[in-house]
Amino acid sequence: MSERRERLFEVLSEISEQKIDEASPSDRTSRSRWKKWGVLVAALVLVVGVGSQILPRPGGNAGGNGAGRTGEDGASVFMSYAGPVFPLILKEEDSAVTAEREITLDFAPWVPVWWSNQKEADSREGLTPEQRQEVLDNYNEWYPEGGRWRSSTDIQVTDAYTLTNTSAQDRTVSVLCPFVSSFQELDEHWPALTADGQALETALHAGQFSGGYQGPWGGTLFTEAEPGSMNLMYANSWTDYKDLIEDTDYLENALEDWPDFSGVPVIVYEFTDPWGPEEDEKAGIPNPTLRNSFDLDYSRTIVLSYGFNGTSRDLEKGWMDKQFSIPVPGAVDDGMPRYLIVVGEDIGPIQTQGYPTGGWDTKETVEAGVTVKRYETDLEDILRTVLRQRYDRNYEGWDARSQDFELYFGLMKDQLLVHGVLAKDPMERYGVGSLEDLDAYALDRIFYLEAQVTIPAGGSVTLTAEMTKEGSYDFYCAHTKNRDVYGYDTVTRLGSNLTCTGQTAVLEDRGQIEIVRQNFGFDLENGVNEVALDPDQEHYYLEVKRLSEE
Amino acid sequence: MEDATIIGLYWARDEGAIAASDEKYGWLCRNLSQNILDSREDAEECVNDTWHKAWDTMPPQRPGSLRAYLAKITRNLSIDRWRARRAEKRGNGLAVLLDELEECLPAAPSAEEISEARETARAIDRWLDTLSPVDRTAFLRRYWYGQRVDRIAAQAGCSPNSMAKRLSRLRDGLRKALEQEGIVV
Repeated sequence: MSERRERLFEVLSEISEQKIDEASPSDRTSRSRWKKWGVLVAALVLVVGVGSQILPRPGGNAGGNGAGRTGEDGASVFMSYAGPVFPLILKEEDSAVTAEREITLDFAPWVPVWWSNQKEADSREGLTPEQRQEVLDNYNEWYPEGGRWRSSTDIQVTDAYTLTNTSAQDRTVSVLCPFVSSFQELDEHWPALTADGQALETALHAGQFSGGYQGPWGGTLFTEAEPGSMNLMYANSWTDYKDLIEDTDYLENALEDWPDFSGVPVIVYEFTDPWGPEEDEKAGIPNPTLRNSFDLDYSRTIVLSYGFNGTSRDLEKGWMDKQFSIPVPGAVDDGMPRYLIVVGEDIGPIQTQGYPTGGWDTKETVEAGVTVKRYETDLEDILRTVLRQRYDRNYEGWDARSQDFELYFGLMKDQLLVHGVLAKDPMERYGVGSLEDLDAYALDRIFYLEAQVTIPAGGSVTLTAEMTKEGSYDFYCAHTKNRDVYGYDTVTRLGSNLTCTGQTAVLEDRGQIEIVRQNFGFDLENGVNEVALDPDQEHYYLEVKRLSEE
Repeated sequence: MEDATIIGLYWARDEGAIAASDEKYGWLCRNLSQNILDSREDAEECVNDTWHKAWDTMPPQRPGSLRAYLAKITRNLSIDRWRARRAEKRGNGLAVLLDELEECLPAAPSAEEISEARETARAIDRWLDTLSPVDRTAFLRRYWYGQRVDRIAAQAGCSPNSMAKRLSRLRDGLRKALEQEGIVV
């Protein structure tokens, strides 16, 4: 292959995913008929006034985050960054309270443990006995020795503060323990807060997305950030968090209530009981689809949707088509209501027509229909209904965990207002108003765990935050210098108002690691596992590799 | 299993994600890789590397289309492997010297190269938009997925000869489109 042809063949990899998807050779096994036909056009300008009625919790970063930079202090800028360990914060400044901080980085999770196939199968939640047996059979096939040695690249962090009250009266202070996580991963990252060994009652606050958005090409063929806002761009160094905290009222906004949409009237069109011909490829009906067409004035109306898997629209001519595949009986979306939620002026009459495929260029029609019910309510009410359905579908049983529905609901509303179609400048990613596109549950952010501690006059209390911390890393196949290297970092004072009179770091290496880069000053060969940290130095990092087996 | 669920497994660091990916898209990725490499063994390794890379990139990635995402990884890995294999076959001599000298060049593409590649990809995307769905699918199945002409012809319900002519016409169309946009590949 000549270089030119080679280049052309390679550059083809970067065409749009939708085209790759549509041209994919037929699946031998898949029964999925889901096709996404989202037409992604320029962001809709909000003029119907939702933004002026509801104040968003600002603080998210809609711009770039400068991927690919080199850390100023010699730390690597990893492709996947887990975020630093932040220092404790006093909710209200209190000069009478000081702290001694000791942070322990424990590599115990790196120690390999034997994990039997049976244990693997038993660990799966919500399986029938048959499904569990299937998992066991699969694992017995993959690991015929009955199991495997398993280890993690997480570490256990114990961030301990001896809080001292220098005043003559007892002091009750509210503390905030910041940590980086996402809604989906809260259970893994949630710090356990104790005071003198006693578990503390806590309340959770969530900051906004700690990253930004970029164009569709960034992160694939091209190394630089791309204009646009179609893709996510996660924070990739501690300085991104520094900018976020120092340049915005990030914490203040995290402590605010979620937006309340109960004062925003909406018109809802609820679609139920769709009917039409059965899927029959031989008869030329591979994907019976219902297309719902209506006119609207984009300067006066915003349409949110749920349950539609295709959107086509023309902002200038003022029309929109929303379509969905007629579900096969028993399919996951069979019986699922679908919604168009109209904010602002009502849309024109909805014309419904059946088509044999989901292609927008299909002209042939089929007999099909759906029951449409129109009613009026408020945005808070309908969003609660719809997002509850989505939550129940995706996170069945999660209410029992850290990720309850109210948090999910709040995060999604917040995203809708700050980056979604209700924002002044919506991100292209959410531009068609599909509620399924919202992904607030997956985005990294700083959470703050709030607790109250009483410190006796002239006395001390040891407050400890124990948490699991993931390593930062480069993607394996990127062939960077940091292949197999994992980074862990902490900041000494970023975002904190707590006066620390001393800070110490302890490394429990468990005989598992070799240090590749660091600025802590640990020296494993000479037994230096405990070092004093300089509070004037904002950032400490440790980058390690697993010790190779002899 | 639905794509969103599989992606959820990747995000939950559940190794079941790989089994589910293999079950649903293994055939697609294996065929794609084999079409490029013409070797079942190499294709198998590329597909294994695909799951590895998917595991390493989700999170943070949450692809809109898991199928396209995995296929794209496989395609790029297969091209890399094809190049590595070609380098191995060259053996000693000038080619090796040139390869060694190439290492002196910066690994990252220049800003100009990036810009050119981006423009070319966009131009191809625009040109694909002008095609009928049948032509677009035929072109991509041949030049993206590397399918054999007779197989594409069978899927489209025409003869291999007719499909070969159609592909030739499409290549000509792409060349003209790129020329019109002033793009030299």
